[in-house]
Amino acid sequence: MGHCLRAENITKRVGRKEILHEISLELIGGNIYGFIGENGSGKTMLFRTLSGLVRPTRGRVLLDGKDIYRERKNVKVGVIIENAAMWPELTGIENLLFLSSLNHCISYKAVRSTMERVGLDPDNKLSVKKYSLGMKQRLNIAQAVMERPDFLFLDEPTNAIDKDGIVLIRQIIFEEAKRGAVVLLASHISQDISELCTEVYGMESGACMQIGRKKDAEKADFFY
Amino acid sequence: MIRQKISLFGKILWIVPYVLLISMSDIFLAVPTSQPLPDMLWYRIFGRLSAGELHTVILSVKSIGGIFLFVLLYGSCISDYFGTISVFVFTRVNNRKIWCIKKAGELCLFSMLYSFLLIVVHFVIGFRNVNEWRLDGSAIMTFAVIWGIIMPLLAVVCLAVNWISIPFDVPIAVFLVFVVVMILEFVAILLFDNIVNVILNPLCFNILIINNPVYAIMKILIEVLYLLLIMAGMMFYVKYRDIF
Repeated sequence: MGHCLRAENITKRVGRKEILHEISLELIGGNIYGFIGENGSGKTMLFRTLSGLVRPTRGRVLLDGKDIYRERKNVKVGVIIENAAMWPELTGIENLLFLSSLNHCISYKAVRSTMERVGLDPDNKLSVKKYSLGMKQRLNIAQAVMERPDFLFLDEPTNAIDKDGIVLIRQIIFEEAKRGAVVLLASHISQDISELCTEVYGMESGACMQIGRKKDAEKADFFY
Repeated sequence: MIRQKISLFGKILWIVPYVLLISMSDIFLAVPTSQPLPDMLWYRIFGRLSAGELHTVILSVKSIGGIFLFVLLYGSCISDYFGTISVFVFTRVNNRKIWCIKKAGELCLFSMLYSFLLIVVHFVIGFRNVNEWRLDGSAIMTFAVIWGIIMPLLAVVCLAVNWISIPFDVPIAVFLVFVVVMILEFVAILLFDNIVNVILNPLCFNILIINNPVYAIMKILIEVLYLLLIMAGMMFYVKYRDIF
């Protein structure tokens, strides 16, 4: 049976402001779900909530039937979210080895091959603070996919990446979904959504509505 | 990874030059006295406050300097995980409570080694200050009691700084914690013979503790209790904190 992400009536308030409003979703492994919406519409907060980083004020999130805040065990989640960054003084591979040491579920060899998969040199001795924006983003993608996650949350994954890199990243996202992962993708680039996603959701003022399949998304006025 | 661990453990060694620096006069100018080694250790590691015939043990500025140095070295060793890397860390951590206990345990290990080194260096320097440097039962007992008091004290202060620096910045956390330390120190001096103060105030070290092992053990247990309380508080804070 494939992986399944279920969100039941999620509401998130920060202070008096309601960031997410009564969101319910059922997402199945093997598909790529696109999330589009203007800045501040709640996409990133939704990703944070679904990945277990932020606790919803109301509602619950079930990953493979288990409440992510109560009985999270052996659930592999990969995330790229804006403003997240690695330890700046360590090299790329040292950062990935540090992160992989938290769960001990992949080998040194697998970490190296993930770096090569995203187009980075594992033997590069540069510390991450000396990386270009594109290299940092590739490293972020490497950390998200290296442990073969069951649930992959990608917020603007192609940001700062060059043309060839974008093709490569799209290919990786496609391969991850093909492997059976539930992939959630938020992007301002309409081509990312239209080429990759099987279903598209629009977000506005914390509410989430299904727009439809990728053909319909191309017509939606969320793109700019 | 190994480089990171070595650098974390290596920082403990900073206490050696610090103690040597503050003990320059004892190393080069001190004249041996008839004071027994255990008494000399108490007054060297903490500090003596005398008023007429009364005298008690308090944390002197140089002793607080040792705590401050420990906070400088390890005051952000847990809170660093709540910076920009927090997203990548906490999507991998299955149980935040267990993660927090492990990190607090690591900090306790650092404080154990740091305080051990601190006392050992004072112990060795004490060789110059006493007529008879004897490693007998009472000296070893004094060593153990001082270690038992300082280790949890360091860990409590440093955990508090780490905890407060999660929502605020490290400098704010250090400032707030050291304001509390100064207030407790002030209370410790004002009420130095009050038994409740001696037992409950983590910075009050009355002569009773030196002379009576029961008081010493009570003092250590109270300090360990404070450590457990702050660990539990931090554990629940980390569990329920939103990672933005």
